[in-house]
Amino acid sequence: MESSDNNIIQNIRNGDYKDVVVFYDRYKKDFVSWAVRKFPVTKDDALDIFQDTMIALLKNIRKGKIEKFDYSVKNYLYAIGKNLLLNKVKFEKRYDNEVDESTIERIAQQVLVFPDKGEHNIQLVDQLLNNLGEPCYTILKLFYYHNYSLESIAREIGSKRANVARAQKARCIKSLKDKFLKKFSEDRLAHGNV
Amino acid sequence: MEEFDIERLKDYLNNNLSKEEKAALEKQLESDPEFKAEFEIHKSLLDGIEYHFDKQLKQSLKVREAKGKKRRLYQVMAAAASFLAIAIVSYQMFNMSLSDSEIFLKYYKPYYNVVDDPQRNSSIPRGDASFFQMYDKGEYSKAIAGLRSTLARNPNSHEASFYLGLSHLAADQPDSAMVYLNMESQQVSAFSEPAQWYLGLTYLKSGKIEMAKKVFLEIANKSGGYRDRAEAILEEL
Repeated sequence: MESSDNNIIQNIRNGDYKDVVVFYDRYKKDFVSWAVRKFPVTKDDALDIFQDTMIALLKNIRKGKIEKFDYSVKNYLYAIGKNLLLNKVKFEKRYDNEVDESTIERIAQQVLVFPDKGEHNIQLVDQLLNNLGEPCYTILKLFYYHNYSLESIAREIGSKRANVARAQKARCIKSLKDKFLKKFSEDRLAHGNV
Repeated sequence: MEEFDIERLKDYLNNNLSKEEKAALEKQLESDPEFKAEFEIHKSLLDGIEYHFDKQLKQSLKVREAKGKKRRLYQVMAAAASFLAIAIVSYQMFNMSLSDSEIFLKYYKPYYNVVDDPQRNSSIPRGDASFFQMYDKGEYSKAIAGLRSTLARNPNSHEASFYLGLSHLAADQPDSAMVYLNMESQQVSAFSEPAQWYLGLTYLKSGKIEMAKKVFLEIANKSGGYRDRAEAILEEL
């Protein structure tokens, strides 16, 4: 395991995603080779699944499901990727002795995979964000995706201004909520219960 | 009913609550239907935010992948291509039409100071204003000097890099702006999206119309807050 892998976890939990590309470049080739060898997928499909796997790995780190890497990062990627690949091909795996299967199974019990993309409410918020103006768009991204904290803002710019940031954040989430409730009601009237 | 504590919900979803706090929240969910309804609404908002920016992140990885492939191809064709590129860029600079300037002015708006944003008539003493506020107030030279020193001390600061690019653009220094905005647009950060938009505007300001179009086309082809603007500006270019 690379010695810096566990350091990267703290950066990601603090909202700094610059190391994502480090992981991406480090593990892409092996993952794609493994996926193509083990599952009936094309190289392009394997690359697409690798990107989904990276996103899922980040989600697991953000949500505290992975607090440190007890095994090599490759095993985590294979555990998550295996679920996604099986979903894609709905096919029994071929035998492969590259990785320890029992380790992968153990990790697979622990981690989350990509959420159900079809859920109506999630799609609704996704559409609303596409039309949300600034500064709310970036504020919501900073605080609720990159998990910037008011404490880190306060350290940078002083506690008085952190209160301003807190007020902005509250206004932006209220604005998104109001739009969501309005659209949700309109959709229900138009289409019945969703 | 008191205002819903979305930070508590975020901590719950990210497994940051203690066992006791988690138990208390779950008990409240069972016993308080109003709280449960607000919980579900705010959970949808947070799940939707996460899904939206996960999609955007995946798109960034795809674009990076495509650029990597293109870069390898361009290296093979470098000698002939670079000569041709110099000729095209020179032609474009000579021929930047008034209409391109007008388009720039139509679409350029200074970006918000989202790092700290006191009211403009704030009582914060002038000497205490942060470099981001200097940008906000149009004091671009001071903002540039300050943000450069910030970036020198903290080379990983996405905020400093992004606002430095913006400050150079606002100060009519597009060549310097391009450096920082290009760098930031390729990062996986909170500012990569607006950085890409302003990079497109910087190319437009410099008369690099084909490069501007390429950037706006990339933005228009992915979901995000700048897609509509990118589509609109492409129709005018």
